Amino acid sequence: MIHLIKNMLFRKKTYLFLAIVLALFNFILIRNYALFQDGYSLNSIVSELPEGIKLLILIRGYNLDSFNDYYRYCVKGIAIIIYIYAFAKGIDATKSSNYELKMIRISRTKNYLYNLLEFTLKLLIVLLPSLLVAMLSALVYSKNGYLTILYSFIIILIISLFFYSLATISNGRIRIILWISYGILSIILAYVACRLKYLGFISIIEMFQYKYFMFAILGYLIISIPITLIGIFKYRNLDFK
Amino acid sequence: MIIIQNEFVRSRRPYIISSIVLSAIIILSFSLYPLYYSNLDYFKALFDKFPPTTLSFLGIAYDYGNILSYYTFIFTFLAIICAFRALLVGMRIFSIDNLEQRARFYYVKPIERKRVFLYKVIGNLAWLVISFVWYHLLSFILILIFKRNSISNLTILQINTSLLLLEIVFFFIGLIVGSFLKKEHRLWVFALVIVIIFKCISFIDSSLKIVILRYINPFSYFTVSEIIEAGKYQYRFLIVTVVIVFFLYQFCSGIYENEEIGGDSFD
Repeated sequence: MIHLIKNMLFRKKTYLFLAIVLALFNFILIRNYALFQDGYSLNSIVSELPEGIKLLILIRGYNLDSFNDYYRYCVKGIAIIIYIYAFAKGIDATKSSNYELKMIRISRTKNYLYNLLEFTLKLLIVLLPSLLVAMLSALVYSKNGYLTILYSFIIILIISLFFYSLATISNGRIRIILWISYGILSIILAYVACRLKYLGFISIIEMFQYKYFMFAILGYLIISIPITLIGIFKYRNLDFK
Repeated sequence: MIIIQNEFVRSRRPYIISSIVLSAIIILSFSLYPLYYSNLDYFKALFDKFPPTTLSFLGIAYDYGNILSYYTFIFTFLAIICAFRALLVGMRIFSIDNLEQRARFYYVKPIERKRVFLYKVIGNLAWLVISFVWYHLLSFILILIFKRNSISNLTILQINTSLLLLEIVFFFIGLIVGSFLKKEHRLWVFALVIVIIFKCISFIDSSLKIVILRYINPFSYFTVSEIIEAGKYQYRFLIVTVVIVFFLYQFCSGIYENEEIGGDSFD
């Protein structure tokens, strides 16, 4: 099993590049915040923007001069990149993993779970350097916001696993439609959340903003379990050619 | 000569497409300059709210009204596109032999591998120079049309030439990366990531002022604000560019000489 996971983990190494880029992004975000603390104000720049732009970039309701709000706002961009990565990996898992099935004779259920485990490990490799860099940068530059950073990474981890499972339950064009409709729904919810704050935790984009995100996380975990089970069921009946 | 010709003809697509994209961006950007100039006070007030490090990273110079400072801002993004293009083209040199079965063509020529590699590089560099000439002419004409006060033609040439130098460095970086990623089909992902990493290094360099990072990062070799201020390049970075290009060329040439051209597709 260890050999199988090791083989899967190092077959493609694109995620290592992703880890480097995200760690650098995190450092830049926090360093940029520190630069603005030197007598400048991000809020005053945002206040100059027209209302339409503010709504478009989903910035309403954030006090960017506070580190917690600033990080919550900026981490949305990083999160979306990882969600897309997770969705793409979910699609890949049901496309190419028949290779392992042919090489080593294991059941499809096990193979699905190994793929899930491999993805979780990859995700941790992608996220942990970023978390470390973000924590260290916060320690040096902002001196607070450690919990915000930690919570943000937990959200990203759980929602990415949700997207991975979601991608495995259907195939081909339906996946893309699913992804697009979920994306549109989330953006609509994010816009609504700008007006009605407590709806925000339903939207994957705005989840970082709310204190009660644990409920949402729990919700996504509960949804993820049946989706994973459906994914396993579908994977067992897939016709690999 | 026939290899150069072949390489020149078969590599034309990415250069033509990227030149069209660059032209569209530069025309669109300069067409917005009158709007920017008429709202200069608003932009001045906005830019004054940014820290100097962020401004320099975005390529915004302090002389806001001058068309060259506006061009510097556009140039920051054009440099990213050009670096991406050069990297991608450099990376494709190794993988394209297999993908398009060019090895069938090269392998039958009674010629050393080193020479084949040199000709392939020349074929691509010729495209870089042609696209540079086109870009320079276009930007020069646009600056002449939209300028509000006198500008040195030499400065424009120096700024645009810095783009060519940047592309050449990234082209050779692309060569070396491509030599390790011969079997990869999604080279654009790697090219994009490498450009982002270098751009991040640029930010770290401009905010933390770590001298060594300037030598690592090609984006910092020829910064437009420095060219405008000093009216010339920094000679140490010209030397660094030449040294990097020379060593990367020698290294890649060695790899090309020893690799299995054509691989499975040749059999």
